[in-house]
Amino acid sequence: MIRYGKDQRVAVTLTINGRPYRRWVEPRMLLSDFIRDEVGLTGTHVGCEHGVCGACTVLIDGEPARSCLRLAVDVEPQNVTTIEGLAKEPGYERVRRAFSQNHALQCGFCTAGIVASVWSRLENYEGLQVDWDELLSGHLCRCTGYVGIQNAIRDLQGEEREQ
Amino acid sequence: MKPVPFDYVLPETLDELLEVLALGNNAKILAGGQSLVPMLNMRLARPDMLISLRRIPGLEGIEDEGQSLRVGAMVVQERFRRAVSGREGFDALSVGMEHIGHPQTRSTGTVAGSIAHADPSSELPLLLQVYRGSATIMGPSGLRNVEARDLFLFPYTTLIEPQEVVVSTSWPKPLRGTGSAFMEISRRRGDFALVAVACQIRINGERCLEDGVLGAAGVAGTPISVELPSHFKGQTLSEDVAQYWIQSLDPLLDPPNDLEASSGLRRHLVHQLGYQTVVEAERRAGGNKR
Repeated sequence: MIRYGKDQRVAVTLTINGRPYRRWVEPRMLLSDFIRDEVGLTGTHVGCEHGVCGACTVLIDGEPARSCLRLAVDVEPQNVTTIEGLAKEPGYERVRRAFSQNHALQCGFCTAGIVASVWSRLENYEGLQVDWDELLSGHLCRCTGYVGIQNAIRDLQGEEREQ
Repeated sequence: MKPVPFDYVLPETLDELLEVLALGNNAKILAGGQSLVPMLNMRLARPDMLISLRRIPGLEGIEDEGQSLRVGAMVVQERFRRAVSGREGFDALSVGMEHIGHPQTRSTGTVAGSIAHADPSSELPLLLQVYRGSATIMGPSGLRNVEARDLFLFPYTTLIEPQEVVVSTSWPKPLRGTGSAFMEISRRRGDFALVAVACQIRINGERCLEDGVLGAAGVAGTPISVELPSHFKGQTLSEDVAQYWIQSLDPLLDPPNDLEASSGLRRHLVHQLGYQTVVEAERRAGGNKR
């Protein structure tokens, strides 16, 4: 049984975007802080830090999850994908283009999280019914509102049907 | 918005977990953490020790036991929702689980964690009551089974002792001829329920009521529920019957008065949603189309 003390720094190895990162951190460190401050992947944004805003959403084993609501030490065996990892995927360019063409972002603070959520449903949900508005309800956007984002999603679905 | 420092323990077996819990030093059990970690971040919770369940084997399963579904302590809400959606009689459960937070939190939050957390406005404690489910709890003296109607004591307080842990929850499969429905009002999608109501009704071939449970959350310190009054058994569901049944919740109501809604509004919503939910549950059971 592993037991870490309060002020002890422990070696945590997380696989982020397919690459292992080993860092010495306190057990209380949040995954969002590990990603940003320890690894330096600042594409993941931190808003409310209690699970409401959705800015810090990343993919954990392919499912969207709040990185501010996970302890880094508790994520160890799982695979984390951030926006930087998605940007290297072949399908990313069309998602980026759909968001850009539909004015689905303005300041971009919420965008990395929204793209992670949308990506999870584009990739693994062939044939399954997706409630896109419900998916978007997990993200707060305070500049453009949601119409542009909904339009971007509609474009992406249209492209998928044509393929 | 960072948690206070705590010891972090990763037991490999249930015995090791019980051993650590027995030390009794202000420990919290971490399952999915979708309620606990926000409380840690806001420092509403300041445990000295956090015990993670993630290495303990045997807590991940959804088992069909014939009469009921047994759900291991680490099964996440989204997985359970997909497992029950479309299953006969589980309409209230699958619809109710869509109201828990967002897909992004259901991917991580667990069924048993939500029940052990016992937020008075949350969906799963209410649903466990309405489905007449139970929680299996392990402690120093072994396993015990606690019925959902006995489990919840006060807000965030259950019969689970500090040295115990929930290892699974059990969800009885509704009998043939059962319909169920769930309705909820909240200020924002995925936010805490102002009022949530769930109901299951079983009817016979003549469309007469045989059995039923009606419950509500967000209107008292715990979820509340009432059985179908026995003198209605054998009758069809008229408006009078539905209203009488809903009013039998009244003595149990103790709705909070806060910025989101007055207690008067919550009382009103219980009656309105209650009526719609009862009618919908009976319709799904195959009763009169109204």
